[in-house]
Amino acid sequence: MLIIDDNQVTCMILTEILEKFQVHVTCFNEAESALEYLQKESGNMDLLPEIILLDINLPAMDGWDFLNEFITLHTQLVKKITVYMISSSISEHDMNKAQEYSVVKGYLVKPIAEEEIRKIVL
Amino acid sequence: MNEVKEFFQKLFIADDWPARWHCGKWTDFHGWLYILSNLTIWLAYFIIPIAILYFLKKRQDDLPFKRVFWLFILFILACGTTHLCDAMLFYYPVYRLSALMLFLTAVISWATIASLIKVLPAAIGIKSPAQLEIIIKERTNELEILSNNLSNQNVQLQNFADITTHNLRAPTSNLLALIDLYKKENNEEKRALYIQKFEEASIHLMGTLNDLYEVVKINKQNNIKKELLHFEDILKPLITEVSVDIEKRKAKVTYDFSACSEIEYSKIYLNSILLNLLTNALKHNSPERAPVIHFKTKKHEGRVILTCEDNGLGIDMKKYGDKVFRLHKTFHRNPDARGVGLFLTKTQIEAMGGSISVESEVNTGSRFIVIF
Repeated sequence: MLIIDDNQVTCMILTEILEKFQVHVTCFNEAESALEYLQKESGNMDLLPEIILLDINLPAMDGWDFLNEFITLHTQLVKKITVYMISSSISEHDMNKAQEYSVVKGYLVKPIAEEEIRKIVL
Repeated sequence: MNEVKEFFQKLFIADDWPARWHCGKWTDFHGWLYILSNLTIWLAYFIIPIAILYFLKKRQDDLPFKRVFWLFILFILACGTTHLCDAMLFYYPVYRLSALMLFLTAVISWATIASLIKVLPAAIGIKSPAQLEIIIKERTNELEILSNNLSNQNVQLQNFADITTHNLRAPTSNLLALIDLYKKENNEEKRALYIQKFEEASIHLMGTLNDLYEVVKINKQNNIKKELLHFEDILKPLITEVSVDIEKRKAKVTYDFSACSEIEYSKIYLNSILLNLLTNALKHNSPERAPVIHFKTKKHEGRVILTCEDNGLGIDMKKYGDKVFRLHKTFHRNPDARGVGLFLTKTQIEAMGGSISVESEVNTGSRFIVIF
C-alpha cells in the first residue's frame, strides 16, 4: 500500500495499524515523489501498490493535483490501483469532488478507525 | 376718542361721500379698467389661499413652518379684500370699511414679515431634493462600503472556520490515534516511540495554535493605531535584520520609494508585511541564479500601491492561483516554508481595508502587489 500524507505522524500511525494486518506500506510526504515512484515502477507488479491512501492537503501539489496526473498515468500501469482519500476535511465540497474521480473508491475522514482500514485491506 | 367711536359706528354707512363714479372725471374705459382689474385681483387673491390650504391639508404631517403658511393665507385674503373694497367704492363709498381693511392688511403683513424673518434661517437650511439626493447617494455609498466590509469579514470568518477544522483536526486526531496505539501495545520500545511521537505532535499542534492566535489577534483589533511612516525607514532595518540570509544567498535587495515615500499605516503591520514579503522572496529563490528582489511604491487613484518583485522559482498560477495566501500552504519542497507568512500578511492587509494579489511565472519570478 502507498500512503501520501505530508504529516509524518499520520504516516507512522497508519503504517503501524496496517502492519498489524500484514500489509506492506510505503509512505510519501509529497505527491510529486509518489508520482515519480509510480512512473518508475509502472511495469513492476511487485512494487506497485494495490491501494493508495491520498491526503488532500499537501504542500506544492495537493491531492487533487495528484489525482489529475494519476488518471492519465494509471492506464500505463500494469496493476489496477484504487485510491482512497484520507483527509481531515469534512467539507461536502471535497467529498463530492472525490466522487467525480472514478479511481477514487472512498473518502476516509481522519481520525481513521482501525475498523475502516480493516475493511479496505481485507 | 369720539372720532374713533364714530368711525366704528358708521363703518358701513356710505352717506358721507359721493360714489367714486361721481367723484372727479371718470371715463367709462378708465372706471371699468379700474373696477375690473381690482375684481380680478380680488378673485386671484381668493383662489391662491385655497390652493395653499389644499397644499397644507395634503402635506399636513411633515410640513415645516405651518404658522407662516397660515399667515400667508390671511395676508393674501386681506390684500384681496382691500382690492374688493376699492372696486366697491365706485357704487358704495364705504371709505371707513376700506380704511379698516387696509389697516388690518397692514397689521397682518407685518406679522407675516416678523414670522418670516424668524423662520428664514431654518428655511434656508432645508435641503433641496437635489441636495438630498446627493446626501442619499453618499449614505448609500457608506452603507455599501460597510456591507462590503461585513461580507469580507464573513468570508474571513468562514475561512477561519475552515482553517481550524483543517489544521486542528489533523494533529488532534493524530494525538488520539497515538494514545490508542499506545494502549494496545505491549512492546516497551514501541510504546516509547509512540510517546515520543505524541510529544512531537503536541508541539506541532501548539505551533498551529500559535499561528491561529496570531490571526485572531489581527482580526480582533478594531482600532489599529495609524501613523505616518516612511517606507525606507521601515524596510532598511528589516534588510539589516535578514542580512545574514541575504549574504548567504548572494541576494540583491533594492527599492525605489520615490513615487510615494510615505504612508499612514500601522507600524507593526507594515513591518510585518514588508518582512514577510522580503523573507518570502528570499526563501523561494531559484538555485540557478542569485536572487534579485525589488520593492517599489506608487500612487494610483488615491491609494498607495507597493510591489515586491523577485526572480525566484515563481508559482504556477494556473494550479495554485487561489491558494497562495492560504494557511499552511506551501508550493515548493522547501523546509523553511511553513505557509504562515503570506496568510498573516493577507489578514493584516485586509484588516486595514486593503488587498494583496500576486502575478507569477514559473522559473521567472513573482510580483506581489499590495494595495493599501
